[in-house]
Amino acid sequence: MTFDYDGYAGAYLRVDLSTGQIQKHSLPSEWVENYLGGNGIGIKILWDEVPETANPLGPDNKLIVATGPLCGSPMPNSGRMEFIGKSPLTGIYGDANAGGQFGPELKFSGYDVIIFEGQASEPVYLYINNDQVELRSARDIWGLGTYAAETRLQTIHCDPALKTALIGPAGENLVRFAGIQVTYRRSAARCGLGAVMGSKKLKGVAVRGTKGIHFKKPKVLESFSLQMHKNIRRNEFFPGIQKYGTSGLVALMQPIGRFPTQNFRQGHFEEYEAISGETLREAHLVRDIACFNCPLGCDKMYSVEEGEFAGCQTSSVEYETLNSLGARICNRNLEALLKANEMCDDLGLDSISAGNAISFAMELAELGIWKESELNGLDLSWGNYHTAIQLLHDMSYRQGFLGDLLADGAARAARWLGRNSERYAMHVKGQDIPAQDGRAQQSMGLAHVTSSRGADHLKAFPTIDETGYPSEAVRRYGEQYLPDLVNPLATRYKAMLVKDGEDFGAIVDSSGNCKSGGTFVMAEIYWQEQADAIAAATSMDIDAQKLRQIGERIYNLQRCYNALHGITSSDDVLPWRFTKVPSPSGNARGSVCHLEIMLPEYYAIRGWNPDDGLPTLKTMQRLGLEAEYQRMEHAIACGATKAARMFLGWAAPYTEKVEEIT
Amino acid sequence: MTTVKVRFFNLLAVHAGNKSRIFEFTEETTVAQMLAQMANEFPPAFRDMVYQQDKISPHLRIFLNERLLYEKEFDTVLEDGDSLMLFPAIAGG
Ligand code: SF4
Repeated sequence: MTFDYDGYAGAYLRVDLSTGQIQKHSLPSEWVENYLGGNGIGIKILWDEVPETANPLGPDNKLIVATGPLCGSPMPNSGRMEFIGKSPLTGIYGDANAGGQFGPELKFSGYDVIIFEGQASEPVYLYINNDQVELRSARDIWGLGTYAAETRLQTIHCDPALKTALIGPAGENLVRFAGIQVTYRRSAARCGLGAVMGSKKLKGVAVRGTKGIHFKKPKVLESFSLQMHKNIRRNEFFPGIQKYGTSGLVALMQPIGRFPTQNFRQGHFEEYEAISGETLREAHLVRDIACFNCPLGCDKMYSVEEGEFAGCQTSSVEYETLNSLGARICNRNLEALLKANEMCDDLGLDSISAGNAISFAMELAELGIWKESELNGLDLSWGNYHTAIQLLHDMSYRQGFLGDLLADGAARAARWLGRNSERYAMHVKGQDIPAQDGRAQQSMGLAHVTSSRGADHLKAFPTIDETGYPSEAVRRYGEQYLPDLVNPLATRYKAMLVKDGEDFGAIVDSSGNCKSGGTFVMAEIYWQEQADAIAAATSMDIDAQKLRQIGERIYNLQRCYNALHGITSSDDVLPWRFTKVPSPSGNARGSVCHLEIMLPEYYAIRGWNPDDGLPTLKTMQRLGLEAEYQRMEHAIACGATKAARMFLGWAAPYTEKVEEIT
Repeated sequence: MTTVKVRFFNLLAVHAGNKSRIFEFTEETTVAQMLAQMANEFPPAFRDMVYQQDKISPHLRIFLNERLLYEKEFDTVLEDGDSLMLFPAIAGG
């Protein structure tokens, strides 16, 4: 079978870890025509090959490593790639995206996608050097942190330019929110896909590629890319984001009231200046760094020169981590935070879920829910960063009662523990809620519940109503939706905003672009530009309208995959703090998240059934997914989805009002 | 006398050369008038972030006592003890 399109490497690898067999195949044209790449191909494979009965940590789950048509291209921010699998944290659809250099290198070696299946009996890693593809023993690097393992592999292969995707001890020890670390120090953090690798005894992938990619219209693509680079550099948002990266958002979120503090009790942190992007840059910057072909370079390298944490060197200190291991646990010690970030990357932990598990534990301690004997002498007072650092280690190695329990994530820990602890696990569908308080931005509250991977800001990534950008709203949607569309506290039109963001996000995650780069905040590479670039790269017959349909198809199939696991509208809920307790913070003061208004609108716009929140036959037919609809309906009718649901493992978010401690 | 505290963030702080400033007014002053005064006082790079073609930039974010101000509210008269936060164009998560 041959592959018809340029812009792709045109081949994929299927690696059976149980038998050690490696097969090379042409990429099926149907995959790219209907699902484009990355995220889209991932859900297609998951749907076809990983049934609802598969244990996320068993041999039947698969890990899909996937790039897209713009990954490795001259287009700006073209270093992003995806990992997809059934999530051990949520039990449903899972994906994690990373920048850096790994994705392009994989394509340069001649492969767009790798499918890992089965389970190895001994630790292994996959070594790819163009046509040479081998499973090798990872016994010598099993147990190492990701930094040391990457260096060791580069030394073994005498190749400092080797690019790796690796798990650390957290993945090896099946921590359910273990991430995957890719060269150079970028994390595919969410959904615990590092634990999927750990369960397969797959330490990582090391890749070197020198083949390059053939584009259909290289001259057109080159000049279009150059224009996009220029447009991004000229964008009003460029200077501020380039200077501070996402850490610059810490200060902005205070008056908005969107900065979860003390396990989401508040939406602002009194001591935010101690951990703000401005302070971080002033005190600790080493240099700016960037992913493959990125003009923005939002990433930074930081170091700690003095004090208890001297010697710490870390990068990608994102807004999310400054919250999860900062304000969320009331930690104002920036150097400790940098150390915690360094540890998360080296141990291979998702810093959002790790911080959420710690803040959950700290709140339970305040409420006297833990027994003394369970704490192993740890002082879980708010802000105790020594305890937080100890817990990062203990969770990664599943050490002690608390380390082992929290390694399963707050939502599962709550189910196991009982004692009303589920009230304080801040999650949606088992996924820890990121640093985006939905009371301060209504669209964000909706985005958390409609995200296909559980609580998440990046699926819909609504940014135009964060503080309101009317000109951008008019450019994308026209005048008629103002002013409500850009008012963070208004509910009107937010269903449209979220749905459109999810479909577009599915395309960005499938093409190989970056959501922090020129696609969402600086939407220079929006629907039309994505289509133009893909058409020039691949020769596919594509336009913005067709891309919209592909985005919708991807998102609907993800929803259906979750439906196979028993997910329905009854899971589209936020914990009580978002819907029952008025925000005490900033511009959001007095506001709660009005899901009851936005969610029915969202189902209607999506063409989903208002009762169970699942795609209707008509919607699925429109997207060419009739057979998939029949499978979903059959699974529901025969009770398979109910059975699958029993294995999800997390305590449902608590939605009744609880009196806050004052 | 009206005393107002203004905090600058991100590149506005860099261009203002300061993270915050106290302003004192003897006459009634609106938010817009205050911005004009700052733009006169601070280096041109600051002005370029605050104004776009002689109008207040649609990307400037102003919070008055932690409440987001919309364009039509820029003629709000400042009161003694008010606190302002000024951000250039940044967004995301
Ligand atoms: S914007 Fe940031 S995360 Fe995105 S590609 Fe550029 S450096 Fe990487």
